This record gives sequence, C-alpha cells and structure tokens, in this order.
Amino acid sequence: MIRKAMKGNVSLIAGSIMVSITFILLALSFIWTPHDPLEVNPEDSFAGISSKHFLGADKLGRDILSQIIVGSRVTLFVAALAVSIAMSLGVSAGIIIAIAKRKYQSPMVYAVNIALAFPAALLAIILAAVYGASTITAVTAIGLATAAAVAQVTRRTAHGILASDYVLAAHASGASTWRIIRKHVMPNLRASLLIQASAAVSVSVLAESSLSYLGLGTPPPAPSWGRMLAGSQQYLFVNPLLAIWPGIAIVIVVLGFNLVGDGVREVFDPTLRRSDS
Amino acid sequence: MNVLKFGARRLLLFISSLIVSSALVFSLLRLLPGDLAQAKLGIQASPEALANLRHEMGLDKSLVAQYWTWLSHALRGDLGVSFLSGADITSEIAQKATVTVPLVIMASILAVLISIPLGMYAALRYRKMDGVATSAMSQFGIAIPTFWTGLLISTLFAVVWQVLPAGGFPEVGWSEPANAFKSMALPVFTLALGQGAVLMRFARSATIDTLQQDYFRTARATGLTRVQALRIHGVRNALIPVISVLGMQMATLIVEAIIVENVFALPGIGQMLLQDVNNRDLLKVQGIIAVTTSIVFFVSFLVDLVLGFLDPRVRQS
Amino acid sequence: MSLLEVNNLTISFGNKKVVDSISFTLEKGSRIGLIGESGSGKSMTSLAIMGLLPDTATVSGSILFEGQELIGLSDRDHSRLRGNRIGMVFQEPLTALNPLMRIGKQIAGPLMVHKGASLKEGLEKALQLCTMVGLPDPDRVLRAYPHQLSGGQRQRIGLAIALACDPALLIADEPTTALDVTVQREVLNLINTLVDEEGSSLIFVTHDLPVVSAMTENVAVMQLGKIVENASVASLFHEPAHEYSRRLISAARLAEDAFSGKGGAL
Repeated sequence: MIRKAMKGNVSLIAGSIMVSITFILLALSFIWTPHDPLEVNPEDSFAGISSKHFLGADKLGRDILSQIIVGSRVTLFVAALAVSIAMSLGVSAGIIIAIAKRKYQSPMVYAVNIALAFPAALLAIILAAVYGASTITAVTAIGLATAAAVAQVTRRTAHGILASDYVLAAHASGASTWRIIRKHVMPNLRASLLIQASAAVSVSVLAESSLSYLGLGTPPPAPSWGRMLAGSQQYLFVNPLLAIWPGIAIVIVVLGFNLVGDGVREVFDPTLRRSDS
Repeated sequence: MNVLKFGARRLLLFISSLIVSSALVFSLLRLLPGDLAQAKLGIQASPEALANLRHEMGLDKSLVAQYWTWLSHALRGDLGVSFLSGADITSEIAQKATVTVPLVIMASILAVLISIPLGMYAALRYRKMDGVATSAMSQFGIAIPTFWTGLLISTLFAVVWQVLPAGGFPEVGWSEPANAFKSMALPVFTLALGQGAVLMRFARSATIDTLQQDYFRTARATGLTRVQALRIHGVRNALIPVISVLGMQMATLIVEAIIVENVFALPGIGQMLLQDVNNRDLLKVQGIIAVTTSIVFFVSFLVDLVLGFLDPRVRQS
Repeated sequence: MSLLEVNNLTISFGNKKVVDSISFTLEKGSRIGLIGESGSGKSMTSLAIMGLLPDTATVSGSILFEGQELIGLSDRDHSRLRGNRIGMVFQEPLTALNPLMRIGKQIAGPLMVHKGASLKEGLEKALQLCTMVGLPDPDRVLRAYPHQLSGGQRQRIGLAIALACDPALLIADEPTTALDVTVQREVLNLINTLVDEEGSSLIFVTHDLPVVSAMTENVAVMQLGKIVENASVASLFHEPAHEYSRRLISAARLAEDAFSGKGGAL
C-alpha cells in the first residue's frame, strides 16, 4: 500500500527521504559523533572543512558536524512534545466545537480566533518574561499556539463531515453522538490529522529554531541549531560558512515534513493528484 | 445599509477581541510566582517595603480592579512607566514604532507584489517545468527560517558584496531618509521573502482554482485569451485569499519582524521587547504585547472590510 | 462554402479518445443538435470549436469555420472569433458568471474586446441586450451581482453575453439542463426566437431528446466519441437506425409517460 501511495508522488518520496535523514541524525547522536560536540579545541578555532572536521569548527574549535548531529535531539524533542500537546488539545477542542450546540459554537470559535493572534514566539516571549526562558516554556508556547491552528482546521473538517448525508442518516437511525464521532468523524478525519500533524512538526521546528536563535529556547550548553546560527552571526566576516550548516539542517527537517504532508494530501485527495500529474 | 451593518459588526468584534486578549495577557503576566513588587525589589526586600510598594502600585487590590485601572489608563494612551528605567512606556513604544511599523508595512506590500504575479505564473504553468520550479521555490521559502534568510542575505549583501549595511539604523532615524531606507532594505527584503513564499502558495492555488471555474471559461468564450482572462477575472479572485491570509498571518508577521529586527540590529519594538523580557520588565512587556496584539486585531478588522469590499457575497453573509 | 465543416475531428486525453473521428457540416442559418449521454464527446466537440479544450487534450482533424482552419490556431487568434463570430452558452448558470463582477460589466465585456466599445457604450448596449433577452428592470440587473439573480435570469444573461456581438454561430451546451421545467421552456423559446431573428446558425448540445426536437430539425447522435446516427428529428423518432438512438427514444418516451407530458412534450 505504501509503495502504491509513493508511486509518482514526488512530494511524498522527497519528503520521506528528508524526514529519514533527520531520524538517522537523531539515532546517530546516541551512537556516534565524530567528536564530542562540546569539546573545546583552541587550535582548531574556525577550522575549515577538513578530514578532521568535516564541516569545520566554530570559534572555540568545537566540531560543527557533531553539534548538528546532537542538535537534532533538542529540535525533535521539542517538536515531538509540542506536536503531542497541539494535536491532543487541538483535535479534542476542534471536535467539541464541531459537535457543540449552535449557541455555544460561536463563542468557542471566537476564543480560538483570539488564540490565533498569539503565535508561538509571542507566547514564548510572554512565558519567558514570567518564568524565564527554558525548554519547557518553549514547548508549552509552541504546543498551545499550534493547538489553536489545529483546532481551527479540525473544527472545519469535522463540521463538513457532520453535515454530510451519511452522518445525517446515521443520526436519523438513532446513533448516539459518541458513536457518530467514533464511527464516522474520526475515520474521516484521519487524513486531515496526518496532514496537520506533519505541518505542525514543521511549524514547531521553525518556532523552536527561532526561539533558540533569540535566546528564548533551550539554554546552553546543549547544542541547538538555532543557537549555533545565532553564534555564527558575530563571525560572518571571519567564517560565513558557519551560518550555512545548521540552516541546512533546519530546512531539511521543515521541508521534509511539509512535503510529507503535501504527499499525504495527494494520496487522500485523488482530484488533486489528477490535476497535478 | 447592509454595508454599514457589516462594518459595525466587524468593529464590535474588533473591540471585544482587544478587551479579551488584553485581559488574557494581563492575567498571564500576573501568574508570576511572586509579584511585580517582588520582581522590582528582589528577593531580599523587607516585607514592609514590599507591602508599601504593593500598595503604591495598586497590587493589593483585586485582579479585576487592577486590570480595570490598567485598561482605563491604556485606553487614554497611558501604559504606565517602566519600573526599571522609569521611562514612559507609551512614548518609548511610539518612538520604536517608527522603525517597526514601516518595516512591517513595506514588507507586506513587497510580499503581495512578489507573490501575486509569481503565484499566478506558477498556476498558469503548473504542468510545465518552470511552473513546478516556481512553486518548489515557494516551498523552500516557507521552510527557511526567517532569521536564517536574514543571515544569508546579510552575508551576501553586507559581507561578500558590501553594498548595504549588515545592520543598525541611523541615530537620527528618518530625518536621514537615504540612510534609513538603506538600513531598511535588507530587513524588508528578508521579511517579504518569507511572507511572500507563504502568500504565493495561496495565490497559486487560488489561481488554479480560478482557471477551473466555469466563469473563467465563460470569460474566455467572450473572446479573451487565457492570460487576458486571468488579468481581468483572476487577479481579484487571487487577491481575496492572499489578503485574507495576509490578515491571518499578521500576528506571525509581527513576530517575524521581532526576529528580523534582532538579525539586523534594528532598534524597533521587537528588539526592545526582548530586552524587556530579559530584564523582566513586566509592565512594559504587557504594554508592548497589548499594542502589538491590538495592531493584529486592527489589521484583521481592516482585512475584513477590504474583503467585504472585494467580494460582494461577504457583505451579505 | 458552409459556415462550419468538421472533418475527422479526434480529441484524446493521453491514450483515451473522447471524440473519435467525427464529421459534420453546418450551413449558414441552419441548426444541428448534438445528442448523447455525458461522456459521449458532445461537449468536447463544442469546446474544440471554441478553442477552450484543456491543455492536456490532443486534437487532430479539421474544423473549418467561415473557411478558416480552427485546429492549431493560437489562443490569441482563436480569441478573436470567440464571443465575436461564435458565441457560447454554458450549462451551469450558477457558476458561469464571475461572482465578483457586476452583470453589466460582464455583458459589456465582449463588446469592449471585439467592437472597441468603451465601458459606457458597452453598458448602453448591455441595457438593450437585457431587454432583448426579456429581463425585466434591466437597469437594476446591470448593477446586480450574479448571486442576486435567479438561475433563469442568469441563463438569460449568459445568452445576452453570447449574442452581444451578433455571432454567426451560437453553441448552446445543455443551456437548460440546470433549470426548472417551466423556466426551461421560456429559455428554449427565447433561444429559438433570437437565433431566428439574428439569422445565426445553432449547435444545440443536449442529452435530452424532447428538448432537441423543439430546437433543431437535424440531430447527430453521439456515443462514446463517435457520431452513430445523423438524421432529421422526425425520421429519428419514427425509424431510428441505430440501437443507441432507439434506447434514447424509449428513454424519452418513458420519461414523458412518467410525467404525463409535463416535462417532455415541448
């Protein structure tokens, strides 16, 4: 079935490759890195690409490749937690709004719209102002902000399903609300949830890297891609290459998950596939 | 009549959003373990001093009363004073806004100007190589974090070619227009690229949608070529989703502006906000966030009005 | 010289032929009905004449219109004929008009494109056209948006747009399928009268035999991309030569019986 879904689906193939690269990096971080990512080596300061440092070294002579490999941990850890929060909160909120009585719906939709005015980074800034920046504030902020977006999409999709003829028929034949959610809404939401989850990973990774860049993410010394880029900025004139590698890593993850989302959409929406082929 | 009613409803929505969101920010910032007085005086402060300051700052009143005091002052344009520097928050924000507001406006305009023609082009040629390449470009644009775009752009323009400054802003601000624009060029471009990539995706799918519409066929049947029909019937139809997405993206755009200001060392609201967060200058943080979210809600109010103007069906629903 | 000569027209998408080597001619001022089920290729044929086939279609054969070869014509050259020498009315009056544009401007469109009319002149002519297609209160109609009009009114607008430049050929592609039965009859009568008055030729595309019998004397029956029978309406009814034509007729009779003449007999 997977092979069939992959056939001719460029987005899904390219996305899966990029996502696999990410997970290989993550697995690698626990098994082997070329150097200790935190090992300071004054004589290797700003070392270029060499057999010792495949991607060079930073000002303190720390190996870039090793930092990137280990940096995948923070990125994916934050993303995984934030997406779990976003999906569980967002999906349940979306479904509750969709099945709620009409008069309760509009205030809830209104609340979601207000929440949407607080993107992850703004929420993280507020939380950091109160509690100080940490991985937890970053995860909470990203998770809550993304949950609002997920709730919005889920509500719309669930609403469409609930208005369809087969659900009306099920209602008419006396099925309970819970049964309708389990038998009709959830199965039909599955594709949409998969797409949203992969989009949410991308959004989370982008948000996490921005927060680390701003110094509002995971504090040092744990390597993180965003902070590596922030560190490289001072030395653009000395070694511009330092500003390249972590960025590429971020783009691979984000693009990978976005493409997987697009690919899944193509699989589930045959009309899209026809018009794009 | 209909138009007035439509406008009034949106205005009501705008005002209530402002109140709700500011109450939300207010309570979030008051969830602080300890309180503002503690934050100001430090942990070693004596209980008497704390109590005095609390009374002075009105912190001994109920949360609702405190919020009401803050809101009624805020509505008169008084956001209080920073309790670190003692400076007037409103005038500081106003001063920094002379950098941030032009940045956001210019970037939004540039983003729309980039995204509509490119999105339409990608749609028109979506089976051809160049169309696919154009939409692949937008995929990349979406996946690249804004601050990295900024770093790359400043590496190219400021380090490699050395044509534009890598950061900073003239001390005297806009009274040196040439220098001010020069300092703005790279930040605006950075912000517009990221935003343009997102908008382009919507412009593309809206255009593909238009190309498949029956009325588009009717338009061509009246004697228009594909390109002519797209110019007459497609631009407006592509503009609608692009503008509504721009409205929805305004919150994100402002956050990105905060980031971009940090990349290019622009002395705007964003840079100030981050300093205040690091200093835990909570009242100021609250003021800044209240202002930025007001802008977000105001823009989405404007966008609703523009959409109502562009799409006769919206006015009536 | 005939107005329209279609010779061995073949349209395919990939390996799939949707129109398979069909030929017919249409004299100046005469009418032909193209009848068949959906997927028979009748709509593709009319779109080919208009030059509005999707890019993915490959076309071969010949379509001569007023002596000009239409196949292989550039979009720009073809657009000079569309709405000018050849007008077309579409099936869905609900979606065939741009929801964001006032009716007046949409009717004035072809006049501005082909006759060099200014918007003001276009709107003046549009006013006459609205009266011609029997729309009451044309001033109000011109200022309206499509969603403010009924289906029948919108189809009249479609007709006004198609006839704005006095085309030599009008193609009506299922123009009444989406309408109520009573409105259907009015619109068909209107097409009849206007085509007669203007002296235009008509290609009437439908799946509905009774409807076509009210509009044209000659019909071409299409099935799976081929013309299987070419006959006058009268002889088709009395002695259908092809098995498929017989099925169409019995289906029409059945419908007629079921509605006791309410829907079918026009």
